[in-house]
Amino acid sequence: MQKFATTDSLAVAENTRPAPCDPARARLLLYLQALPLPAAEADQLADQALATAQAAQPAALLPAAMAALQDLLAQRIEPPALPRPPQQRRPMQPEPLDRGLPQFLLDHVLAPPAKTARSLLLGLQRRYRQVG
Amino acid sequence: MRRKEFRQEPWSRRAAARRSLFLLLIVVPTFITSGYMAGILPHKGSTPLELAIVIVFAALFAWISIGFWTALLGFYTLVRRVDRFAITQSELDEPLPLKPRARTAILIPICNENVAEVFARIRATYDSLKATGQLEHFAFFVLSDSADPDHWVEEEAAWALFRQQTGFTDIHYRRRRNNIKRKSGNVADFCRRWGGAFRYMIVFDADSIMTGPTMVRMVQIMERRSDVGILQTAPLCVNRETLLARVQQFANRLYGPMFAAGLHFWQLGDAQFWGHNAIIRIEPFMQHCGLPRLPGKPPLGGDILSHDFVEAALMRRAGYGVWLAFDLGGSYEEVPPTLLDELKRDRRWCQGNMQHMRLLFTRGLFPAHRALFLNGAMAYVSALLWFLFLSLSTAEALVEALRTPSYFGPERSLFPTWPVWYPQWALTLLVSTAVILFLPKLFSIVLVALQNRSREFGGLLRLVASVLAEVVVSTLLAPIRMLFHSKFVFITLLGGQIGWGSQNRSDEATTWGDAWRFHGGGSLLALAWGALVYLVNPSFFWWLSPILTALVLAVPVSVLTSQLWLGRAARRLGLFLTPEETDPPAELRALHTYLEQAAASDDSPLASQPGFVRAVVDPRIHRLHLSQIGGPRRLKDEVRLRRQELLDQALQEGPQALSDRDKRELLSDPASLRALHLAVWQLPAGKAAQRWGLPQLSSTA
Repeated sequence: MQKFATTDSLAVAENTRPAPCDPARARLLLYLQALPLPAAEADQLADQALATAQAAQPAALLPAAMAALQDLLAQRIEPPALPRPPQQRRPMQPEPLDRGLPQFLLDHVLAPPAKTARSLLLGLQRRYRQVG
Repeated sequence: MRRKEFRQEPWSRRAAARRSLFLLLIVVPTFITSGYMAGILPHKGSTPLELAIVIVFAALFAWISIGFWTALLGFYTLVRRVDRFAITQSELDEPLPLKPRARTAILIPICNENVAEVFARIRATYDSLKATGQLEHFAFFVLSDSADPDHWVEEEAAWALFRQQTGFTDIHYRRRRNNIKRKSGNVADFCRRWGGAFRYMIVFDADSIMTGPTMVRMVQIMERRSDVGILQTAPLCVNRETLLARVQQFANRLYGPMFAAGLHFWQLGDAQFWGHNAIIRIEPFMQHCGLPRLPGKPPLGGDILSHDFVEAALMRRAGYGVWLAFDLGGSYEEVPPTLLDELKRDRRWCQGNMQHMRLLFTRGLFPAHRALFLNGAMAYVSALLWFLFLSLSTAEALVEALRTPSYFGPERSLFPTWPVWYPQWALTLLVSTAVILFLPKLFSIVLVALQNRSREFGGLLRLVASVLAEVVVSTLLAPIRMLFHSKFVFITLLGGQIGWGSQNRSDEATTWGDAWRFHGGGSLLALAWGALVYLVNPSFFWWLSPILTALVLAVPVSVLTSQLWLGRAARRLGLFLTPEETDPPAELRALHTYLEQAAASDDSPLASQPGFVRAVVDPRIHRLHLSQIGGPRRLKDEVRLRRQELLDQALQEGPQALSDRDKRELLSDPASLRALHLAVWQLPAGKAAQRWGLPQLSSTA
C-alpha cells in the first residue's frame, strides 16, 4: 500500500534543499498526494497556493496556503460526479390492520354457517314452490 | 383490489384440496399418537397433570408433523419433476427479452455491516448481471441505516470506488439519518423517493448474492404473470467455514430444496416472503403494504419487526399472489457463524414472530396467511412447549415415584388395580417420533441418489457420513436451542425488549468465557434436574438423559462448533460438503476474488484509518463525503458553539475523544467538517498529528 512520503523524501525527490517556506510546501504536497493528480500538477498547485498565501498572509503561511489550495482544487478538480436519480416522490400510506377477535368470529366463524343455512333455506323454499 | 378475480384463479381450488390433504395428514396421526401417549401414562391421561402432558404432546407432535409432511410432499414434487403450478412453468420456452418498462431496482439495505464484504457481494452480483447483457434494465441502490460513523464513511468510499472501478453509474447510495422502522422503513423510504421510476424491486439482505440469470428470469416471470405480487426464491446458504455454519449449510443444501418444494406444494400462491432474495411488484407494494405501528409498547406493540410475513399477507389481501420459486437456483445467503450469533438473531426473530399473533385476526387476511403467522410464532413457542412437556413429564415421574401406590379404588373390590405400563406402546411412540424427525433426512439422500448428484456432496459414502454427523450435531444443539427459545418467548411475553443490531457475519469463534456466560446457567440447571430425577426416579432419568447431556455439554458444544479449524478439518475429511463447495459457481468464485482484492484495492495512504478519520483527513474521501451531505446548514448559535467545542476537542485530543454521536454530528455538518479538515492539516508535527493518522508529520520540523 502506498504510504505518505516524508517531507525529507519529497525534498530529495525534487533535488532541492528545504527553503524557509518548504515546510508549508511539503505539507501541501503531502496533502496533494492523496488526490489522483499527476506529480507535476501537484507541484504547480502547491506553488500557486504558496504564492497566493505569501502575497496575502505571509505571517500565517500554512493556513493561508491551505485555504488557497482549497480554492484552486475547487476550480481545477471537478467535484465527484455521483448524482442520484431524480426522485419521483409518491406516498406510501400505512395499511390499516383492523384487528379484533369479535369481528373475526363474526366474519369467519358465525357468518359462514349462517350463509350456508340461509342458502339452504332459500333452496328449500324454492323447491317447495316448484313442487307446490 | 383484484381480490375477487384472484379467488377464481385455477390454482386456488387446487391449493384448497392440497391444504385439506395436508391438514388431514397432520391431524389424524396426531390424534392416534396422542391416544398412545395417554395410554402409556400411569393414569391413562385421567389426572390434570397427565391431561396437560397429552395436550402439550399433541401440539408438539402436530408441529413436527408439519415439517415431516412438508418434506415428504416436497420429495413427491421433486421426484415427479413436474408441477404444473410451479411459478417457473409460467415462462415460455424462449424467454422474452426484458423491456425498458420492466425496470428493476436491486435494493441492498445495510446496517453497520462489513463494508468490504457487502461491496464484494454486490460486485459479484453485478458481474453476473452484466454477463447476461441485461444490465441496462437494472439499477442498484445501497440503502444504509448505519449509525456507526466509520461505517458511514467507509460505505461511501466503497461505493465511489465501485463506480470508479466498474464505470457503472446506475448504483446509488443513500444513508438515512433516522432509521425509522428499520429495514422495512428503509425499503419504504426507497419506494417513496424512487419507487415510481421502477416496476420491480429485488430486495437483498446484506449477505445476499444472486446470479444475473436468476434475476433476469424473475423479472421475466413477473412480466408474464401480472397477478404475482411477490416472487420469493429459496436461498442456499454458502461461504461460511465454522463447523456450525458448515453443518447448517449442508443441512440447508441437502434438505432445503425438499422442504421448499413441500412448502410450494401446499402454499402455492399464498407463500411466505422472507424479506430478501425476492422480487416485488412495486406499485401494489406501495399501495397496499405500508406497515402501521401496532398500538401499545414493544415488545408486542410498536414497529412491526418481522415485516416480511405481514407484507406478504397484505400483498395477498390486495389480491396479488405470493409465490415461492422453489426450483429457481442462483440465490444465496449466509448463515450465522456461531451458535451465539444464531441465538442472537433468533431472539430478534422470536419477538417479531410473536408480534404476528396480534395480527392473527386482522380483517381481510387469507386463512393461509393467518396459518403462516401462527406457524411463525410456533417456531419459537414450540420450544417453550417442549420445555413444558419435559417439565410436566418430570413432575409426573417424581409424583409417581414419591406417591404410595393405591391398589384399591373407592369402590369395594376383591382384586387390586395394578399399575400397568405398556413398554411396547412407549417404544412405538418413540419410534414414530424418530421417524417423523429423521425420515426426511433419509429421503433427502434418496433424492440426491435418484438425481445422480451424490458426487456434488463428495460421493454417496461421504454424504451418508455427513448426514449421520449432522444428526449428532443437531441432536446436541436442539436442547440448547430449546432452552434459549423458551427463554426468548418467556421474556417477550413478560414484556422484555430486544435490540435490533447488525448481525455478525464474520467467522469469529466463541470464547470459553462467552460460552460460559450464555450457557452456564442452562448447564447447571440440567445438572440439578438430572441429579434430582436420578435420585427420585432413576428409570425416568434415562429417558431424559439425551436432552440433559446436551444441555450439560452446551459450553464445549458452543465453543467447538464455532471453530474455523474444525469446519475446515471436516471439509478436508469430505464431511458436510455442498455443491457450492465442490464446484463453486462463478459468482461465488468472483466473491472470493473480490474479497481478497478488497484490502489492496484502495491505494489511498489513509485507507487503513477508520472511516471518520478518513472523512476528516483524506482529501478525496473528505470531498466525496461533502458532496453527499449537501450544502451548508443554518445553525442556531448554541449549536454552532457546541460544534466549535467539538472541533477544539477533536483537534486537541484526537478522534478517540469523540463519541459516535459527536462524530455523526460533525459528519453531518459540512462547515464543521471542512473547518476540521483544514485545521488537522495545519496541526504541528507531533502527537496531535499522529492521532489523526499523519505519522510522517512527526518527522517534520
